[in-house]
Amino acid sequence: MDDGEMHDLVGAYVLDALSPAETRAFQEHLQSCPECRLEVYQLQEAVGALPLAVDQVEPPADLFDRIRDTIENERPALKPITGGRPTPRRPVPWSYLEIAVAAAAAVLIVALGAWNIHLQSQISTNKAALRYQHAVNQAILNGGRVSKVPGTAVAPGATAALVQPAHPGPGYLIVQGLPNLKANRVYEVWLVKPSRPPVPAGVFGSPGQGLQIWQLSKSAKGFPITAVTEEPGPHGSQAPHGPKVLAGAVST
Amino acid sequence: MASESPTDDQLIAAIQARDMQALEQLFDRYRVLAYSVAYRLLNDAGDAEDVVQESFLNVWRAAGTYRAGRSGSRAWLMSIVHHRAIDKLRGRGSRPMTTPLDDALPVADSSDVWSEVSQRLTGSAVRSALDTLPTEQRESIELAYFGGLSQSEIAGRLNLPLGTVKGRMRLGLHKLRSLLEAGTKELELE
Ligand SMILES: [Zn+2]
Repeated sequence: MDDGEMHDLVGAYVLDALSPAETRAFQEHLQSCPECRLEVYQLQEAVGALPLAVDQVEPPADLFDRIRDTIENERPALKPITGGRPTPRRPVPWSYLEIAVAAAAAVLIVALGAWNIHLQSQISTNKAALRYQHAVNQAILNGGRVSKVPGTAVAPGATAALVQPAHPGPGYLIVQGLPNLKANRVYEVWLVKPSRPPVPAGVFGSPGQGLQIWQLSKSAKGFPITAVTEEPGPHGSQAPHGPKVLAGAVST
Repeated sequence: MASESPTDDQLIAAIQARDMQALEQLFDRYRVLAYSVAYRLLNDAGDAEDVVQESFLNVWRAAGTYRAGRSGSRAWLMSIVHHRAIDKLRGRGSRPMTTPLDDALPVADSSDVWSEVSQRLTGSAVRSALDTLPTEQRESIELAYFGGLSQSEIAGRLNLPLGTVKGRMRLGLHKLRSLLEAGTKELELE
């Protein structure tokens, strides 16, 4: 096909009326033809108006819920912020009963304050870390809730705090002292309601040394318990199977 | 309060930053339009729902490829929906994207005139512009866009040379664009 014939495909192209082979050929032509590129955009403006001419039909009411569920079930990796040196913590024994007991003493503002100072001195050069730290500080100042999430018998040196901002945005998990992971394993965060399946809230990789702040994939609001388990990487599991390393009551 | 609601471009930027509420707002703005186009092409509620769902998942994942100021957010979104619906209709999973959404294709921004035109458009304005087109141009555009036929299928159905069909679609769309522009200018004068 010569160039003249190629130019002529622009209308069919924007109407999705080309075969896959024709589409590829035309896209190749576009790379070297600024006239056609401009024409594509002009004609797309007209094509973009065509939906208005269709009889309008109301979609089912739960359609967005399905879209949101699909996205949330993809469990994207959490955004890691690492820094600091490990500070050994007193081992925290864990049992289901103790989760409930821990609720009473869940708020760890004092400890978190110390962590903040620690973070500031260790990772002040990392802009992303400071942004998260800032987000966490703001969340606490603006009525967010802080819950202690102690390490279990499997990870007695680990400790964490879950910070849930007052607004419906995602929560943050500040973790410290988790054991390093074996190859192809991840830590997965769970949000739990009694007698309901745990909801996955993101995965993170080998935590390395020191403190990290992780942004969860969703809000912890309405979930009275959070836990972290070790799961197969890189995407974690649909339901927790691996050993619990952190678990605690959450006040949101 | 309408003037205080975020623009599409602002919502798409927020979606790029993984803001689920922004996605929901954009969905609320376009759900009926998107579903109606998919339904018109597929004539099946379940398939149309799948297409809208896939399209907004695509928006969530590909918001970064959207460039404000080109053909406009509605044209961008609807091209995704149309493309997905055509894929379903023709039973092909992996056709290349037919809309150059990426940075690889630099182009002058489309006119400011058009973005004004686009915002004023109504269903009846578009229908009357379509009705004003020469019949053979309207027919080719409608068979492609609403019928989901390829240019070769249209040529076969109308018993015309392929080149004639290509020309009608191209000319017809240019004409449609001018008619829509002129139509909204008339509205302004009234
Ligand atoms: Zn060309």
